[in-house]
Amino acid sequence: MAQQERVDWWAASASRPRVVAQRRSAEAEVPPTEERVGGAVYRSVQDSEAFQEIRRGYRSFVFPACAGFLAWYLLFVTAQAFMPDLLGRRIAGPLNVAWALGLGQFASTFLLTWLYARNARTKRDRAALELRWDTQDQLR
Amino acid sequence: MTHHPNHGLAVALFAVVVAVTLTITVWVGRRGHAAEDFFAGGRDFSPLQNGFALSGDYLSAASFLGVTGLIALYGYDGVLYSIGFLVAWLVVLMLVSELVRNAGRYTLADVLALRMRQRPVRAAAGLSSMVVTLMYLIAQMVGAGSLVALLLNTNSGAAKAWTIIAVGALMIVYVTVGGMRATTWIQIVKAFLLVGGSVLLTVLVLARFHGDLGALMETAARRSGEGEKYLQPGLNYGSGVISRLDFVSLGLALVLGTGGLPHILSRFYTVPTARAARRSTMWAIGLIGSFYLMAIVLGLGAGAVVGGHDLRAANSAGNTAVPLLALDLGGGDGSTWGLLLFAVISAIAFATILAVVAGLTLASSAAFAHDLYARALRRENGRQVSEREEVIAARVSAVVIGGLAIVLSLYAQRLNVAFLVGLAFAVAASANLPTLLYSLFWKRFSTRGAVWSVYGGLVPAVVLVLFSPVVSGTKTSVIPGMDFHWFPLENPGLVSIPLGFLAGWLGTLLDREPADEDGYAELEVRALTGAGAA
Repeated sequence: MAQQERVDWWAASASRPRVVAQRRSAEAEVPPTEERVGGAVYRSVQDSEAFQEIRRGYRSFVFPACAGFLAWYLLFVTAQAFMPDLLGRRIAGPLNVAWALGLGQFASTFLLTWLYARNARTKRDRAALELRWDTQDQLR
Repeated sequence: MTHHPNHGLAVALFAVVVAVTLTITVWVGRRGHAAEDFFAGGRDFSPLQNGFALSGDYLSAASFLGVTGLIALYGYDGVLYSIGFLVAWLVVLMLVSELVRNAGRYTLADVLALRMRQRPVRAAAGLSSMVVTLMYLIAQMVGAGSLVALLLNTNSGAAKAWTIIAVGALMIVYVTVGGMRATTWIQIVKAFLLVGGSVLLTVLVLARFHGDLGALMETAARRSGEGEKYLQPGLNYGSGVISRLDFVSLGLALVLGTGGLPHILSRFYTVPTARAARRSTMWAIGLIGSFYLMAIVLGLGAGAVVGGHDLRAANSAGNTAVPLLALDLGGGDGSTWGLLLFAVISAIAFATILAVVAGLTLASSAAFAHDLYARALRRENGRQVSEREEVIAARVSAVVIGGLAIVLSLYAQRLNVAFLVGLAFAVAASANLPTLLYSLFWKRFSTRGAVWSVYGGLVPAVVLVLFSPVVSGTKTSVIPGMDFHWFPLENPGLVSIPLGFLAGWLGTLLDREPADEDGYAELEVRALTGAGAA
């Protein structure tokens, strides 16, 4: 993984001159013709199978995951407000349901962070980087 | 008052904190004077560094002193705050950090401007960013005033006022001289100190209870004077329907607000790639999560070791729980170790405040210079503002914003710090987050939708607060003598966040101008692949 990271860094620094050149042209309010060329490139990349794959990989993980943790958090918060008796029930020693759920929120946050990172690393990082260079070559 | 520690050592350490941060500012500020350096720190920080800086920006005095104090006094109900603050980072990690890093350059409005007509959306997003940061800034400075006054054992208004002025002056120096690079290094040093101090105290608390967390919880419950209720929900938030709804409202604002905080968003521009942005968010989640877990131990420790009675006697809101805990753990008042530990923890709290206000001022001046001054306030075909002029405008506006924050804070000293922070989160969640999410994920979203979504969240949030019990109608209100409140909740999030989303949707439906499809293609490709990213 450390190696992958290094590859990524190199890629980023290698891209510098190109990015700077592009930024200058953006600064100078790109004339309409050139803008249309850029727009066409982005449209064609957006329609490409490679990009659709990356977007599917991203959205199919992130949307359900976000819906899941938001529902779990809101359930937790509303339970505090409207079911305090249930949450006050003891489980073991001084630990009651409320504390167990609260610590569960910590655990689920750490778990989801790890799952998301793994998904991004295995499902889309490499493809996204390749598409980045392809797109920037087309834009030149 | 039971505790009268000698504060000479604490004052000396405060001076050391100021000296070290100023040295960093001058030293680091000499490198690089381009806009990229000033607003984004040269974009060459590592994920680990930025992870620490994110934690430094996020863990304000409200967390280190406020949350631990709430846990010490109210047990379980205090823990709830920390959970909202942490879970919010999942929104940042999955929906915001990488995409914003790729799509923008310095501010939130950059992302919107990629696919919208830039002047109206920059005006709206720039304005709401300034409102959010200013509220947050006032909260921190009011907190600084009362904190330093408490730590120095003077409760005079003059001491608080001078503290606010001094903190304001320092933050202006950090930002104008050092820009983003110095601000980032100050955050890193501060986060390191904060985590280090928390680990030290946590180990001492655990050692005191021989590692028995059950005994810690039971002792804290017994000494709080509340018994069993201390470990159950409801001690702080009460049981009425309104107070429960208020609690849900706050919970919603906390979890959705973080992703719209301008000073957090601008942090992602200090790393070179989206991958680095993701990794820095992961570091931040690890650091912030560990910090809040330790905060639970510290809060319970303060409740168990110092005791609810003495904590309330020192500060009724519990804001001095951690310094008092340090004093007792070191051997109590009069012992060398006790005083040393007290001074060190107080100095860390002070460093925390200084770092957070610097980050906020920088984000606010970037929103003004980059979005409003250089773009929204220009004619469509007028002269372009050069990068150099933009940086000068940012430096000048940092001085003006700092001055404004000082003046407002002097008048806002009666306001509750936690409430102001909660309000800043509510505005960020109502005005900034809906626009950002719609822009990133909704193909049809249009310029009018973006503008409506910002104002449709910002205006209700601010108006509802003006007509809430916070401003008038109760003994603890800002204007206690008058009563013009009709909105029952203290936190507007429950109403204003859905309104922000609704306004964005409605504005898009009613916009005759269709969405810019080329713009959306560019935004989407750029956000997910990094092609053409700054």
